Amino acid sequence: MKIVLNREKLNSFYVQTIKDISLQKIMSCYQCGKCTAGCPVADFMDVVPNEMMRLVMLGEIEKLLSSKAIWLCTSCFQCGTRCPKGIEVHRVFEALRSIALREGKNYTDIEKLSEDVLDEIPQQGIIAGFRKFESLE
Amino acid sequence: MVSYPYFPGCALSTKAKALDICAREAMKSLGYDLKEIDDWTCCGAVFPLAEDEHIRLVSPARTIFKASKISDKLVTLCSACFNVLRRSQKVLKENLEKRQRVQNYMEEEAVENYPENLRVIHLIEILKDEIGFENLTQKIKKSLKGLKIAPFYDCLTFRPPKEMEFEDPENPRIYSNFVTALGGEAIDFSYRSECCGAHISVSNPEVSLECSMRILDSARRVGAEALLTSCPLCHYNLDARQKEMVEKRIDFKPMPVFYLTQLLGIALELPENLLGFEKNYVSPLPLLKERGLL
Repeated sequence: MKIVLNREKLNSFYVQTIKDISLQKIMSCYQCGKCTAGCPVADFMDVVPNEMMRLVMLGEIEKLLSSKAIWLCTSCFQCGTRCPKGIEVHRVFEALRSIALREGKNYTDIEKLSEDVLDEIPQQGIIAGFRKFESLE
Repeated sequence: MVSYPYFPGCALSTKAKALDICAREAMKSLGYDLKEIDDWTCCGAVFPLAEDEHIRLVSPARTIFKASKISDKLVTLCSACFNVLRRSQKVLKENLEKRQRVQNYMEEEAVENYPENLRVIHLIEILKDEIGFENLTQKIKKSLKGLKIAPFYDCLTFRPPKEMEFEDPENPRIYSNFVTALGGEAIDFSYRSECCGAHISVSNPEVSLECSMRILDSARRVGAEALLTSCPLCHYNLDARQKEMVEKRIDFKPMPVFYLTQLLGIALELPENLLGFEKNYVSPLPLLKERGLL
């Protein structure tokens, strides 16, 4: 993947927003990969957690906002628990999801959910799942 | 009888009733009255991770205020409620700016001093710290001897450790010690603290099915006969979805998944109608009858 670095991208509104709402020191990540090693859904992600950290550092936020990975994160907090640099990687994931949702991008299609699932799955699952469906407009 | 305010939460009031009813009855026989808080509202189910989302702390703050009028402890059991309430209390206790913002959204509660001393606890903490597992062994009426239970350590009760301040999520022992206290054989397995896939069952059910199947396979490989959990969502993924696992893989053998309180209920000889086994997709009855436990 070819990445062009420039000052504007590194200090973009997106990068600043991620720092503001995750409160994490993105630049202290040294790419050890422990977050990815512990992630239960890394096998299914198009961008794995340590790659996500790297792309945030490089200001490549659009790539992340259109990734499937940010929505596959289960918020199990394993990545943040095991990070040797104390970065709460899960908060960076949440910041990316928040940006996407605040821009009106949805992920969960409520109409496609089966009645059976809604009848059986506990409320905590439905609410957590629907947080990927914040804005209708 | 010791009385504590109790927050059952939405799942325990509907889809995870088995977890709730056994808890109330079992604790009553151990001398604890779990008093449901009046007019409680949903905890929000997800702790707000984004720094600027203050509104999601209002509902947990309300519950904390309500509980503090009755006691200095609030008992929870659902892992999501425990996670949200415990982390909310920590942040509202320590971050005064955030506390002020949250109180600005509140009405009558907000005029009072913030209940900094209230501790949000998980029901198992009463068993471990107040009664003590050793004493629990003396109090049970029926030993679960010979039952090989694999305790599953859900994400939300243990992580993030700095905020939950519960037990080391890398080497948790609490449920193993609980099973041992009830006379059962606790089976450690390598996927015991892996995520079951949680809420992605709503958006990507095939992914969470895979996560849950790995957990059940891992437990079976080391000889477990049943799993133990205290999380309604883990229970859904690990129990109810075994229906799909059987369809997906011809060699998949179903395994019962007990709620923490169901095992406690069996050991305390609660009547069978209070154990809520009709809510388990994989019925534990054949296993329990075979062992003479019912």
